[in-house]
Amino acid sequence: MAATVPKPTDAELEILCVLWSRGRSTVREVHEAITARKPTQYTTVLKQLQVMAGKGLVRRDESQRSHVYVAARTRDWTQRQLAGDLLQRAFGGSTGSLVLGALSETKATKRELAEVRRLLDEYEKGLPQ
Amino acid sequence: MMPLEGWVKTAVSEALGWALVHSLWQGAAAAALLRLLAAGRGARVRYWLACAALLAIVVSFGLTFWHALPPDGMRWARREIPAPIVLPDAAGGTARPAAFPASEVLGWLTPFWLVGAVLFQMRVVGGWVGTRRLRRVGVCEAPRPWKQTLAELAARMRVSRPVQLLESSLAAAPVVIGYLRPAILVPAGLLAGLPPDQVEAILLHELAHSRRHDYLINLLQAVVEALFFYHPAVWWISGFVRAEREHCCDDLAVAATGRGVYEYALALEALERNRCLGTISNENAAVVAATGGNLVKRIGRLLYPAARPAPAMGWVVAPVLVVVALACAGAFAGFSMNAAAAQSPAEADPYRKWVNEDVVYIIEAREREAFVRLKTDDERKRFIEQFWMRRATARAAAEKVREEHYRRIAYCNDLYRAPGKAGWRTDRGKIYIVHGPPDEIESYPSGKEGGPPFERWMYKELPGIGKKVIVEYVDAGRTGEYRQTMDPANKK
Repeated sequence: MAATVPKPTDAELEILCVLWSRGRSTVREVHEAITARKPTQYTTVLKQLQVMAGKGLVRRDESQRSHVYVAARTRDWTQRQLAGDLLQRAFGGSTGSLVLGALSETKATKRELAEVRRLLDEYEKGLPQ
Repeated sequence: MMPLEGWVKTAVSEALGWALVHSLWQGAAAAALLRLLAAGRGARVRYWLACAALLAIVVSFGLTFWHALPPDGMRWARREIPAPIVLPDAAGGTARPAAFPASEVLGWLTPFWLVGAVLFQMRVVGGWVGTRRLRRVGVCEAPRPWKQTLAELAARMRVSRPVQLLESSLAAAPVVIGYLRPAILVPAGLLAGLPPDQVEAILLHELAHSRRHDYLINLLQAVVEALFFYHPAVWWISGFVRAEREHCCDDLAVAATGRGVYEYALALEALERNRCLGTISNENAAVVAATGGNLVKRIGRLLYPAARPAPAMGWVVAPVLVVVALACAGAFAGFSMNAAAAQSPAEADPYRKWVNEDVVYIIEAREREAFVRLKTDDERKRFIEQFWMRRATARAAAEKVREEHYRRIAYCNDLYRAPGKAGWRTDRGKIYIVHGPPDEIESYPSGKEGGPPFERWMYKELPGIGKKVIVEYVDAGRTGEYRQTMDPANKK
């Protein structure tokens, strides 16, 4: 199933979001989290999870009595897969400058991270213990 | 005439051209001033100075445009009067070149600027649509305990609006979206993945953005960037604003955590490492140099505030100064051109007055060119004689045509004089001088049904234009100057 996982739809992304956020969850837990934002039928969520399991987006853990689901791929992996989406990329560029965050738009590089680490280490040494 | 050319030759287009040219040095000056004033100040002061610099550029652009607009109308009318020309000295000395037609060149700037500005604005709109999508798609509510924590932190940060806390599948780093109903989006799993006190520090940073109305200001900033897309100084100042904005939020967040800068810096580092998971090996060396170490600067500033080094912007100053110098030179040249043009044509040179005023509406471009090239007054005198001869018809000798022409000018100066404008320069004057007296005039000096005063002229036939041509003039400003509302050439 490695390379053939299809891109998740918007609705599937929402369920994946819950699974990444909460870790492995029962259908009831996923339903509760989804309903907190927009009321949804329990059966809709169940059906959706079954479809996603079929696509290989989520895995079902059948060792438990109630069905427990877990995301098949990490968020990073999925994000990189979605970044190939042209539309996403087009939005990505100009959206980046319109949202505000604790980090700048551009990712830090290895060298920057090393430099940051050095600054922090230096500072810590100077701190009175 | 092409519609584009028609637009380019309007006074509005020319005024925009002037505003664009002047914005070059205005922006450079604002950037230079900002750099001077902001050196060694705190983040808050630097931030507001930079915002003020951006605002000043926008305001001065608007003022320049307004100033360059002819105050007396004809804004959308095509400027048919060609730029005045300077004749060579009668003594036969080296001929000064005909004045550079600054106004025409400037008019051509505006279509390019418009296209660019529209494209860049579309990019802003696209980005805005993208943020809406980011907030809607692939998100879920954060677990309840975190929502409670956020409410407490918001109270500590004194954020008045309720802030939503969402986890997102698409966001790669925590962001704030929205002004009236702000939402903090964190990458799904981050809340559980980082130590709670680090998550709190990050949330405080995001709340600081919300408290400072940064989202709205940033949106306006993006619009300004798009308008001045051609201007390196504006982009530089805008980057300055962004950097200082983050510094301000860092300071607010550190103050609100109640722990030290070290813990806060650790949180930033952890967050960046979290984002770079997996992708970091893809970065190549060229990218390293280009990104400029934003995070390093921020953390360095937090940890060693006293050592605030002169920002490493020396490489910006040199180009800025060059731009200032070039633009000032350009502006000066522009002004001197204007000055040359503005020198009262009523002054000594009768030949200049002849070509620039007397026959300006009826002389053909070819004739004008030929006239400019003449060296001596004798040649000019002969040229003028021939000019009228060419206009002689079977019914009227050259002398008659000339007399009629000057009669029309005198008539217009008598009847159509407007405040600050000779009669021959007005719209009615121009039509009268070119086409002669109309066959019928309907005049409504006190308007009709409460409207402004207007006049309607009817020509039974205008050679080359058509039959039953109607020209309408309205005194919209009730100043005594009637302006043409439709071009007879468009009226069949």
